[in-house]
Parts: sequence; C-alpha cells; structure tokens
Amino acid sequence: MNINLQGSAPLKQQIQQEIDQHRLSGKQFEQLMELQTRSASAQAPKLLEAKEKLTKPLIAIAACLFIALIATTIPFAPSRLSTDGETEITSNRPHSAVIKAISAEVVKNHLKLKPLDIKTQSIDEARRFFEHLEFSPIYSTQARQRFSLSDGFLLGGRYCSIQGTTAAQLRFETPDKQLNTLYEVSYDELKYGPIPSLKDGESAIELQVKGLSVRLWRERGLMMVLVSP
Amino acid sequence: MNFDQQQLNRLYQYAMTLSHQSADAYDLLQASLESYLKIDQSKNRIERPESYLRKLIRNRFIDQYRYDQRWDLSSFGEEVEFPAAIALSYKPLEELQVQRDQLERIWQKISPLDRDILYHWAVLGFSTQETSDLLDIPKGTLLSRVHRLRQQFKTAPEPHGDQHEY
Repeated sequence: MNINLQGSAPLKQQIQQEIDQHRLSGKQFEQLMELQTRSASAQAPKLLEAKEKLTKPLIAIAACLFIALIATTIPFAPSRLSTDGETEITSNRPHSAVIKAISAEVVKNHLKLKPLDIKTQSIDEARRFFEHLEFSPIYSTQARQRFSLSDGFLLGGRYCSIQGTTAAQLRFETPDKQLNTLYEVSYDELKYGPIPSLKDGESAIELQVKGLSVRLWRERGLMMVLVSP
Repeated sequence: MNFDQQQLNRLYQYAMTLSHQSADAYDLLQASLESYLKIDQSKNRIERPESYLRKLIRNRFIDQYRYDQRWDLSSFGEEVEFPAAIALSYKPLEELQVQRDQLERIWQKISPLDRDILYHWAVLGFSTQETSDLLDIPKGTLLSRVHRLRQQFKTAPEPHGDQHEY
C-alpha cells in the first residue's frame, strides 16, 4: 500500500479516497457484463410469459371462439403439444428457461448411463452412501404412488449435478426392464423458480425431451426430477 | 436492467471494503450478481437494484466469513450500553483529521463491520439512524462503535513509530 506523506485531511475524505482507489480490471468488467448479457437472454422468455399472462383473458376468449369454429368444421383435428425448436422439448405448457435446461441436462445424463457409484436395492443404504450432499436423499412416496416407481426396483445411485448443484441420481429398473432415473437435489426457489408440490394437489411439470418423459415436482424440501421412457 | 461500469465499480468497492482482498471482493461481487440475475424479473420488481445487490453482497459476506468468526456477531445484534456523554451522530468522526498512511494502517486493522459502518457514513452519506436501520444494528451498538472508532483514530501511533505492531 502506498504511503502518502501529504498532510492531514478530514477522515471522511481519506476514507473516500481509500475506497475509490479500487477498480475492476478490464477483464473482470467484461466478465460481469457477459454474465448480465447471458442472463438477459435467458430472462427474455420469462418476460414474454408474463406479458402473455396479461393478455390471457383476451386470448382465451378468442381461442374459445376459434376452437368453436374449428370444431364445427374439422371434427378430428389432431392434438399437438407446444414444441421448443432449439432443444426439441415438447410440453403441455410454457416453461422457464431453467426448467428446460434442467430437463435437457437430466435426459442427457439418463442416456449416458454412466456406471453407478453404489449398487444397492436398499434406499437406506443409498442414503448412507450420499454423505457428501447437503441433504439426505429421500424415499419418494410421490414417485411410488403417482409414477409406480417402487423402492424394490432400485438398482443404485451416483453423484451428479443439476445446473451446477450437486445432486443424487437414483436408477430404477421396472419389471418390464424399463430404466428410470430419479434425480434429487436441494430445492432452491430462487434458482429453479416455482416447482409444484404434489402433496398440495398440484400436478407435476411434464415435458418430453428426446422421446423421454421428464417430470418435476417438489417433495419434502427437495426438487425431484424423474426421467422415464 | 444491466449494471454499468460505474455501478459495478461502486459495488466492487463495497465488496472490497468488507473483504479487504481483491480476489475475495471480485468473487463476492460475481456470486452476488449471479444470484441477483437469477431472480425472475417478471415476477419480482426490484426498485433499487444497486442497493439490493449491495445487500446481497453483504449477506453473502456474512455467511462466508461467519465460520471464520471474522464477523463480530456477538456485538452485532445486541444493544450495547454506552456512556451518556457519547454523541448521537457521526459528528465525532466528522471533526477528525487524519493522515493517509494513518488511515491505511487503521483501515487494515479494524473489523469488516467497522469498515461497513464507515462506508455507509463516508461514501453513502447516511446518518446514524439510516445506517442503523439499513445494517440492522441497534443504534446503541452503532454509536458505541463510532465512539470506539474515534478513539482509535485519535490514539493511533505516528507513522514513524512502531509499525511492526500491525
């Protein structure tokens, strides 16, 4: 630190000078600007979603009239889900960029079928294995009740990450030899946005990615993501 | 809304005030900015983004350094008794004249909370009441700290003396 041998000055002024000498480097500034630019691109769909909500009543009326008109002229029009052109994600409703990113990430992991860190049919043993997580993986009653994923189908688990956060990946094999992957991660509303809680009577978010079904819900403070054929 | 260079520099300076290390300050700013950008702006309208981000930086700093006990939490949340003669404003600091090197030595030595208080007074121009409200510090604690800071600046040794002490 430089020693300034000039005379005394008011403390306030000296503090201002002390603080003001620190500046971001050009590279640091560029990194922060890039961070903001990337986020702005990701936020754009959300803003569009909010805008859509404002015009929803009008659109709903117009849609009803349109459907009534179509129904009278084309009796068997095929139903279609909305499609996201970039990631080939289809869904029954619009979703935020982060949900789409999570879905693409878990499906990619599911398809890779990396070796399991632990092979066990016991969820309790799997829970003991995941000691480096900031949460304890749970036996999902919702997965069992709603998606017929019995505890007895468990093959094992491995560590993975969802959007940079360490998560547990549990692999199941149903009697008809279908592989299902259940991801469990600590739920952070700020990071993931609102995720439905099935216990409260809400429906899971459902998307179709690369021919696989992705369901997201919240359970006992965790976000659960199930990938199944 | 994007933060411009001037705002980012101000926020970096605040992070630097708390952490006193340039690498830590940048990490603090970057991580806090990431958290800020994840907030769904279509649902949450933030009236004063710079002030909000400053708060994120502060919260993150406290979380990060709590384990190291570098944040003086013991006196942070409790009302502290102080002499009746103590000033009820920043006036004792306003009157002080110091040399630059004297400030630099004390600046390194005082706690992050004290630097935080001085930042809110000298840079943001807040009153003791505003600082107390914003930092969620009981007014008595704040005034007591201001009093102690004044004592430190007044009794600081001359630059040519025992510098090894620091």
